[in-house]
Amino acid sequence: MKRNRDLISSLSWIVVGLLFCVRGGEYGFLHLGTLGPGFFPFTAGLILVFLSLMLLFSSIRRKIGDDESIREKRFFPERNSWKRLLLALLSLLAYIFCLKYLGFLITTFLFMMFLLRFIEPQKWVTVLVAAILTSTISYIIFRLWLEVQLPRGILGL
Amino acid sequence: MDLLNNLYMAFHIAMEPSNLFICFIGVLIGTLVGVLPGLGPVASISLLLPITFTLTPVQAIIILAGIFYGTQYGGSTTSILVNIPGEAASVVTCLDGYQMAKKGRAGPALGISAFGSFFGGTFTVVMLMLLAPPLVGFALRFGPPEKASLMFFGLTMVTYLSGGSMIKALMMASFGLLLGCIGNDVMTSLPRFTFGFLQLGDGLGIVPVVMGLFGISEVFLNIEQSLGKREVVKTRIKDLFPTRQDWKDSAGPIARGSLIGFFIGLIPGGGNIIPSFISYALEKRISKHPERFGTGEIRGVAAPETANNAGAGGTFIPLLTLGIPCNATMAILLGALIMHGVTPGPLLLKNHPDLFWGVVGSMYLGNVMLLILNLPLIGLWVQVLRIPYPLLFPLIFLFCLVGAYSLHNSIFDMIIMIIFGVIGYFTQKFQYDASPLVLAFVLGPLLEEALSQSLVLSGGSIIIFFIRPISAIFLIISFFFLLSPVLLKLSKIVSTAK
Repeated sequence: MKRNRDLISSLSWIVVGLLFCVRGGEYGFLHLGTLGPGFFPFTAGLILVFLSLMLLFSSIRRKIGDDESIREKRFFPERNSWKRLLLALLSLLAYIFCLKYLGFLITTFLFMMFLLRFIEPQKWVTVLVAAILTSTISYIIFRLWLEVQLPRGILGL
Repeated sequence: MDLLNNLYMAFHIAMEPSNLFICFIGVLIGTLVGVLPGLGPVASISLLLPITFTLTPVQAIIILAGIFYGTQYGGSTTSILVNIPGEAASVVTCLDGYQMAKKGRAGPALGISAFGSFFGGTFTVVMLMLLAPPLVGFALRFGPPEKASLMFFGLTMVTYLSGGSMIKALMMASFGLLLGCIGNDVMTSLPRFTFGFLQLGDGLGIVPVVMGLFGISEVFLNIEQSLGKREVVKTRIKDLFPTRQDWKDSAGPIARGSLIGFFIGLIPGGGNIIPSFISYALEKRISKHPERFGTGEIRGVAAPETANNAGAGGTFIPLLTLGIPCNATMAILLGALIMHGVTPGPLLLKNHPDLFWGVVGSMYLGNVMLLILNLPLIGLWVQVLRIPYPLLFPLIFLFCLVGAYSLHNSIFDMIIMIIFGVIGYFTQKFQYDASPLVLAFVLGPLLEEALSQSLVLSGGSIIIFFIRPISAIFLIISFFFLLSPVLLKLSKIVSTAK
């Protein structure tokens, strides 16, 4: 239900706002006759907390007079949505991790293979061809043409 | 005459071979991005920011601007042919455009939409050219308090006009302000919220944040569902040209669409999406046959298409003349300018006339290029639509990763981008709009600086914002809009109590 989502999000924002407020407070409000480093974050954090409280109250209030005929979309449209998302996220993190060791070319190749096969499975031929093409073409474009200093792995690639 | 001199300079710069080429690349990418659903102008501008580093500031703005108004052209192609809007401002075009395509009139629809876009786009460039110098003259009298109030006004309007709950939009804006505080404080050079990470000294960086919020999160949202194949309308596109009657019918809508687009694009938060809806509604309202709208009425295509292009051009004006971005896209361009060492603001025209007029000139040329690209090359774009998303999204990921890395050759930026990808995903899921966040993130440090300077000027007194007339006006209007929901509720309570 919408109120649940708003409840969760407003609570999270309250925490975020408070964190900034507290930290901002430590930085000091005044400095040489004008705003200190802490003023702006503290105020913005305070506003965030205040607004989140408003959202929190309105979402609680809606619970009491709830109109169930307005059903909301499920959070994950499909049953294995969260699996795909998690895989995508992990693949991104894995890419970053492997980049240092395996270098750009190999990491990109593995990355493309993984995404093409495990998120929305394509035929193996497509996967291999696409992975090889993308990694080599992007290598040529980024490393050789644009001269971006992409990490080289242990193989020097 | 000054104007002629400026025009001469504008075209002289815009027609330099390298700038011309860059403009062409920009509008080409823009059209491509506009055609492909799932990748909007904000996302693609974010993705291509890193590439602009190797360019001069003029070229950077030329290409980014080209992408932006290019997407307005491309988006209509898919709206008409496949009933899928390439991006938000083309949603309205689906209503009548697709109906026309089903009746075999895709050609005239595409033709009129391209021409309307051209007219709208060119109109606003002309207005930009005419209005900029006087606007700038006015803005040069702005001191820190006026700048601060203007930024506050911009933020307020964007939150007011953003879809969905205003509270949530304000929350996003506050969060954006907070994120802008991360980094070394401008006035004291002391690190704030950096938690010991030296790389955060200059702040989070607009590029990783924006690439994550719009690029990565968009992919996350798309891959939640199984990705089937897209079907393209099978009708052959014969008769690319609209009939004489079509032209006659469209003249009025195009003219009105241009004006609506321009004026609304000018207002902070107006953007180019709202004008498309408003002009469609207007045409329907004043038409003698409102029942025809939605069944394939060419006016329903001409008006919104013109309006969204005019609106896109209009949003440039506050950025280029006052240095105030009015929507997320302009905020990103502002960030790009700052990164290139150009300080936007009223002094832009004075200090970097080549940048200003070069961009103006290339906007003229860009619109011409787009007209040519969009008419004969329609068949090409239709083929592009056949690229399946499962193949596309890994490329988008790769692009984002390399782009983020290439900023400072740092893996850290990639991590920031991914974090904001996750944040962006959740904010969309919990129904928050990310535009106010981006605007606040970019404006935050500038606002803080302006506030500080104002207080130095006034010796610590807040009254200064209210005593100086221009600043006071901005603040009054802002508070009016901020409080309007509350006022509305109060008036309802009062009227039901009677």
